[in-house]
Amino acid sequence: MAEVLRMQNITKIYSNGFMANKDVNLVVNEGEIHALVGENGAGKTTLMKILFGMEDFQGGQILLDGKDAHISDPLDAIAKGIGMVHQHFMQVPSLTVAENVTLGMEPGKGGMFDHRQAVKMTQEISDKYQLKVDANARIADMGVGLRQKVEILKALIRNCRILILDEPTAVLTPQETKELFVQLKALRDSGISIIFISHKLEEVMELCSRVTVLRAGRTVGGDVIENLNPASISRMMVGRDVVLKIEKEAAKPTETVLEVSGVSRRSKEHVTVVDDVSFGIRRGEIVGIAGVEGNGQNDVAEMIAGMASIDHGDIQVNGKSIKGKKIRQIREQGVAYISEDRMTHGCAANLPIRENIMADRVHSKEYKKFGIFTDTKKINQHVEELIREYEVSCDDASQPVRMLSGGNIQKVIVAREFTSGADLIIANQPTRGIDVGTTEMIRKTLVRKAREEGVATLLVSSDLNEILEVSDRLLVMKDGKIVAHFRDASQVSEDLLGEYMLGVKAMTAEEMGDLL
Amino acid sequence: MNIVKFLYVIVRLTTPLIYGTLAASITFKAGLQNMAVESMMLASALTGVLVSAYTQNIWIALLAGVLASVLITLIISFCAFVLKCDLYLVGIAMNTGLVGATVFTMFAFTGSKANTASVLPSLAVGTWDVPILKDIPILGDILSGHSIFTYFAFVAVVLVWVLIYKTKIGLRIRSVGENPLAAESVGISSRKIYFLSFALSGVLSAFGGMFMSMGYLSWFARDMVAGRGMIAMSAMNIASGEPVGSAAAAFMFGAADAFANQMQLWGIPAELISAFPYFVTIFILFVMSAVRKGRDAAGKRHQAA
Amino acid sequence: MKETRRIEFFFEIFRIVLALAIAFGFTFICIAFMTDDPLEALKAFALGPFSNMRRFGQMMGKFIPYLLVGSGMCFIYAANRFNMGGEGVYLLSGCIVTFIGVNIGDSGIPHVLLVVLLMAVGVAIGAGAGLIPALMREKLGVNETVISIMLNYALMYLSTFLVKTLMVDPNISYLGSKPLPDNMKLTRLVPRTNIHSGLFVGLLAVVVVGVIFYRTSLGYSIRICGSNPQFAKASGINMTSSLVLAQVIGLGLCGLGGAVDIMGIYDRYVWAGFTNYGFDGMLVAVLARKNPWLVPLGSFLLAYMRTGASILNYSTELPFEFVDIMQAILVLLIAGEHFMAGFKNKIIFSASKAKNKKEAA
Repeated sequence: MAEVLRMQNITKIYSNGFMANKDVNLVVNEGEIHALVGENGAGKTTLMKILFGMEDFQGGQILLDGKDAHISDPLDAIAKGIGMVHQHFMQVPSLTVAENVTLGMEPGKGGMFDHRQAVKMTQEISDKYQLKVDANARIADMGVGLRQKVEILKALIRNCRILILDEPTAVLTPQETKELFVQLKALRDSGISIIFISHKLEEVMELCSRVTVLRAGRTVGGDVIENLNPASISRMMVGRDVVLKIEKEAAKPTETVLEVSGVSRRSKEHVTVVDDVSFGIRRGEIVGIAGVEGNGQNDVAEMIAGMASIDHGDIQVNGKSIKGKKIRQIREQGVAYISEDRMTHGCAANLPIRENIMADRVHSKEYKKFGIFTDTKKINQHVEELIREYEVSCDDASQPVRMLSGGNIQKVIVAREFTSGADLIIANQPTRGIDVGTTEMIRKTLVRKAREEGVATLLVSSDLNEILEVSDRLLVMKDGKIVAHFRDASQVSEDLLGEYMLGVKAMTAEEMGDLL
Repeated sequence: MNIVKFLYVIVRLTTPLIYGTLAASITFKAGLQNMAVESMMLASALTGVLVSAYTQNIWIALLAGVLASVLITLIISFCAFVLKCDLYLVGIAMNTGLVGATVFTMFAFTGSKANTASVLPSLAVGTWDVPILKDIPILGDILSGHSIFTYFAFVAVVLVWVLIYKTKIGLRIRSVGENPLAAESVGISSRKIYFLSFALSGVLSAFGGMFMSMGYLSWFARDMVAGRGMIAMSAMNIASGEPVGSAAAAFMFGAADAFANQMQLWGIPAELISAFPYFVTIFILFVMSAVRKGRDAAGKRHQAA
Repeated sequence: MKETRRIEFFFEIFRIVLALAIAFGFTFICIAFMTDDPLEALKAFALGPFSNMRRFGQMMGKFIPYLLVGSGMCFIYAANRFNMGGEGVYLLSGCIVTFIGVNIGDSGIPHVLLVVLLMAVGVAIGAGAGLIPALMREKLGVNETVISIMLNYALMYLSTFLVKTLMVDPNISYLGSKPLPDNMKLTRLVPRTNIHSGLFVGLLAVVVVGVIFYRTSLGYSIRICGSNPQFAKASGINMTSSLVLAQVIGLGLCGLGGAVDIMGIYDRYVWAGFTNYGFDGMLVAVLARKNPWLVPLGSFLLAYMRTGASILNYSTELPFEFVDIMQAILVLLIAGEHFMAGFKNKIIFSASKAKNKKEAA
């Protein structure tokens, strides 16, 4: 089979020094479905962004049909026959299929849009590749499976030869997934090469002929599917190159602080993202939820914090339900939340460090003088103490937070949340994108808070080091369900964890035991 | 009260509101918060008067008015999309700035700071007694004999509807308005669309402004738009940006204005009459949003059940 | 990092100076084209306000209400809720204060008590009127700017109506109220000028607002809500009460401005239309970069510009409306975050590169 794409020694370093891709190699043959697998942060999305002209790169080459290809931007990529179906569809809901598909290359004379012609064009492509859609239907009225077909049609109508699909089955039902596979195979047979990015190893085994595995920005392996099985792929994908051990004593958990009972939630596209989840956390222990991103752990964290609504089930903190309550009330019940998107929910970038730290406590009597005025002295003392304790590198408490580095911003956020007097701390990806020193400090503090102050902690993280070293007990989530429960995280090997994360194995209720 | 005459007045007074609401709906479809219709109307109102007086050519004057309005939109677009000033603030600043700027310019050309009435021989666009229609009883009295601007306003509603829903540009505007990422992924520049939609908005506003100074009255007076741009925007908000619905909503406000006029005949003091449309607008917005809120709450309860 | 902060600080000043230069540049062009003796006109504009005591007083007469509306609009700007009702409440407040003053001013009520009462009325009117757009936004989601501007026109006409019907003076040729009793007039600090004791009220207001902004939990809440509403919600701040209070206090201060103005420099109520003080307040808040402590500077600058324009108008007939254009230019350039941002970032970048080189060496 002829080689249609060769990405050779691709190296990409971001301006903050982060190395997203290092000497990555990817070869795709004509008419094959090629799986690109790797954990979050492994560099797959970056590599595809480079291919699609959305990012530049510092080292390496891209060869299309054996010839050097300089892809300047997405339009150029499209012109060179590369199409991309993003995870979040780039569609306009109130427009029809035909309008979405022909946007940017609309048919029609004299500035008028010829909708009939657009429908015809769309129908032609739809028939040619057996992707049945009603070109006159509105996107908003269509289910996710059909909308995905529309995304693929957008690429096909622009004569793509290489189709990149980024986690296409993440939003599909099993039935829709089956249909998609039939279509992808048909596309393959008609000569189109497909790059299939996925975590779902069962699907990779079923659909793809070759696999390339990325880990921590490098190519760690690749082979034809006949020589692989889910376990072997999992071993390549999941692993730590550097093990960062944290010294900690055994946990001595006491009474239950958090009780999650039969909680479920559906996304706005009506996909079940959390499916009957139950577990508990006690004072003094850290429970981690491991899993490939998008399997419901983020939603669980947000539901406990009050940022997402609970559709079914109940969540109790210190014995009182938090269902339907406002964030203010939930915080008052003793919950602190280190949010995943720190700039949106974690801080006010234009305001000083002082205001950011005091945001949740400035109303309390403790910091007031004569009932109305803020006790400036006490506040400054408090803020400066925290700046010292958490080693925030800054000029002073009046410095706007946006001027700090990412790590220091997170330190400010963490300082606030850790001192909010909470009984339960939820840390959602607390060290993502943060420098090593700050990362270590935050992890150590999490452990200290649990051990010395008896704080119950929920840790959601896609960083293996973090989840294995910091957690006392460990849960694994896949497809919205809890599929594993390890009472002692330090006894879990990466390989074993990977198998549960990727769905190769799943525990029964008996094996998991008491989750409280 | 003469109902027929009343309805005639409603149609007349709604004219600038229709243009304003169409202008607002185009930018709304592009996803933008356009507060500056007032400023565009003022600019075109004055320019039309000045140019018509000096050239004595109505067509050149109309063109000049449109260009003035579009120029205002270019300034707005530049400040909002290049200098990244908050679009809201830009609108507010332009509205107040233009009140002064038009008075200033008027003075520069005429030496008057109040109005151009006695000073400039500006032209006005005439009225049209529509053949056949004018002879139909009642209907003819309501719909015939209006300024040409008024009839064009109805045409404009159709044109804007066609523009938004039937042209390529309209498709792109709607795409950018709903999902800029989707548009950019196929090579459409959101910024260009923003500039363009504001420019189109300017064209529509221009006719509204020029109606005020070359149709409704035939001179320019200080602050003559007097909040109509804002009222037009409210009409658009009520109809969620749909051009036809917005025009219909505009009639509601036009009726309030006409009613105020009517109140004159009942001996109600002039200032209260002038204040009336503004109070009514507040009231209408209050009622409509309270109703909408009630409906949303009922819907949510229904869903949860 | 202190380096970056210093650069940013100087850049803020540089930007404002540049914006002023552009705005003034525009003025000079107008002056050059529209007056016979541009240099004289320039002198009149730039130096006029300081040329004699009366003119300086004229400037102070504007400065005082600017302190009030400026600090009021700081609340509006900081809360990011553009309730522009200051224009309308300024007028209505002045009107009602006139009415009360004319009716009870000579009834033997002590001067201080009357003055304080009237000021309280001004605040109440502003606060009450400001509540309407505020509540409609927070409870019903209606655009507060539209409501506030509708309210402006409504209150403007209402004020004129009240003057005509309740307190009109039939003996004068223009529309005005009956003469204000001396008992309600604020004392002139410098006789025969417009410098009156309202100055203390204005400065006190600035201090109070500054204290509220930075020394009360309400101030913290308002600033956080304006800076990042999602963060405010996640931190458990009560957004509704903070934002409503911000608008109510802000407009209450605008109402106070109207009352103080009437009591300070007028012999009778003569406002027949918008005074522009409401929008001027917004400009002062923009010049002060949302910082109440800088309001006196912004107020002074604007008072200077408007007085210069009025003097210019007197000597050359150049209408003072050109200041409205300057006002718009200033707001657009100063509030435009990217104005000069590219330049600023280049300087910060090269400064940090130089620093890294030094440290490596």
